[in-house]
Amino acid sequence: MNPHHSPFKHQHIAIIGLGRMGIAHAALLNTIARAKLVGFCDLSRRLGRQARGMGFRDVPFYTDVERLLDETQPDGVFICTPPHTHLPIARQCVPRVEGVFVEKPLAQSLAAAQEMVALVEGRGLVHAVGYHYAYVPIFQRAGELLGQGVIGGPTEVRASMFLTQVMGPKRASWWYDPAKAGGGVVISITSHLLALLQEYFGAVAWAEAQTRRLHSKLVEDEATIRLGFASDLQAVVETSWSVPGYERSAIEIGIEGENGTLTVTDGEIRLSLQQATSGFPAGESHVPVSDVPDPAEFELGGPGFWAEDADLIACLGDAAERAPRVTWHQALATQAVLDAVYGSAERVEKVGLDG
Amino acid sequence: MAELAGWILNADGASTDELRRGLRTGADAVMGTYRPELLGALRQLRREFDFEVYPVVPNAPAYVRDLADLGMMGAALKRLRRLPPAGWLRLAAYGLRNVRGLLAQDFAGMLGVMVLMELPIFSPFQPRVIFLHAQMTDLMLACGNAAGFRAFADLVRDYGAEPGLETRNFGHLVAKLGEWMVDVPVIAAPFNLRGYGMRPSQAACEALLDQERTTVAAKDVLASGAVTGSEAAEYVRMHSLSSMVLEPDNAAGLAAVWRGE
Repeated sequence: MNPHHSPFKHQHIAIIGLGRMGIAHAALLNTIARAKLVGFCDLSRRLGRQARGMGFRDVPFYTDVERLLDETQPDGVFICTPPHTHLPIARQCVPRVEGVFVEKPLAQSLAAAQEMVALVEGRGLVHAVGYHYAYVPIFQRAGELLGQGVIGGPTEVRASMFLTQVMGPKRASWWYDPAKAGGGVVISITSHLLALLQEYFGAVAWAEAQTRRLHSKLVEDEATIRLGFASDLQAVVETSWSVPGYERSAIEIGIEGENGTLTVTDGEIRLSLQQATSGFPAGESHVPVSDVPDPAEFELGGPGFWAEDADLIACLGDAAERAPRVTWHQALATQAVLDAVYGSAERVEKVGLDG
Repeated sequence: MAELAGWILNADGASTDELRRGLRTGADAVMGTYRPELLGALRQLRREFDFEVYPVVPNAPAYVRDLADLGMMGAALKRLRRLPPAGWLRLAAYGLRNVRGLLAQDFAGMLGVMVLMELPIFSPFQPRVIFLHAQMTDLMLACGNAAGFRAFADLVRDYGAEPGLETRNFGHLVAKLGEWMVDVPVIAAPFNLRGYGMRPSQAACEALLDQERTTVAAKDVLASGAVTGSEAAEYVRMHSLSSMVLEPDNAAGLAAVWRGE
């Protein structure tokens, strides 16, 4: 908890963007022994005052990224601004730091995301994106079980992600402006699930999607997405941020395989196996979330967040000898799926992904 | 040590019928965050059962949602409209006393406003203990905001109740409260046989139980379904935990085990 007692070199971190996620990362980094917050930056002085009022009285505040970089000389930066600003801020930061974390999605468009990845190519920089489900132990465990072949080769996937967020007309915000966010529920929320499906099943070959507006004027509130993976596996994804009863976003992924089914949610893994394997009996069994060890030393905002930040700090300390679990390259692959989903919904056709 | 009811039902997400079933098993308190339906349920159930109400304030997720939807003024107005006149007066007095902190966007001051916009709604239930929402507790803990904890404790005591904290970081919280010399007599945190949600570790949290004079309300005693009712009962007895927070659906099963039925 107390960075001043750490025997390690502190990684000096600056946070750019002091909205909800910026403050959350500042708070989490404050609990990681090897991290030291050295600067905050936001265009809004009010948010700067709020961060100071939260308890960060010793962290200097800037309204200009160049000045932040000049005066604090951070080892790494966390970019927690709206998606359409990620690329211009990355252009400023990438040449001057050893590590960059960007909140998800990588950018508001595929072209901007490609440019961002081009920025880090060949630099030996540590880069990560906030698809934090990759760090949630129950979803990691499900990935391990799939990798072990517990249900055999997967034959069909049905997945959903729901949240209660847009239940009526919304106040103007970048969240609901496609030029700034890149879209609605699919890019802002469901991208977590799409990233997870790619981690489980590999590259996506095509996407076919229908999106629907219920309350939002400019972006989609619901979507039905069909994905085809390079392995010929297909997945159907249902998603909405306009359903009651989901104070927190909830993911469910059901996978049918040659030896049964595996269903993973935020709370458990349920197995229904034809033949016993890997210590699991034939028939029904389940792994509750409490049976999966969680190495996080602190919990704030749900599982996965602390581990995500700690991983970036650890990778910075390792002088880029290993990469965080979700790099900009992986996030670019997710961005390509998002681009195909939106292209398919707009053109009402199946859209293939290059490469 | 502060006295706390033994069996506390978690009202978040629970219907009136679910709470009724939980109270029938012998639960003697209900804790939860503000939502209009909960108030109706509590009023109705108070006519049928004798139980305490422990508010959990502020409803942080609702506040964050309203901030995004309505802006700061809109979120504040929405809460002000549902306050009784006495609540307005108390809020105005608080604002005058803390005008400098509020203008400086000091979190301790802002937290006071958020809490005072919800507490009067629970006044008819005369709560003996008022909990700070886990999201607020853990955010202030991570930010090292000792002033926020002091402000919350003072505010609740001014209200004639004992302050309590909900947390998912029990060990870290107890250590920091000791270091900051902040006196909070009640903490609600995960305690279970599997160590689920017990941070920094199960051993560290259990060791603090023996040393601390704080009253602990154990949450997640069933470890999200990994522990049987009898195992949970045995764990609670072994660690002399006198209070448990239960989901209403689990209360009946655990009551039977507890009574040896």
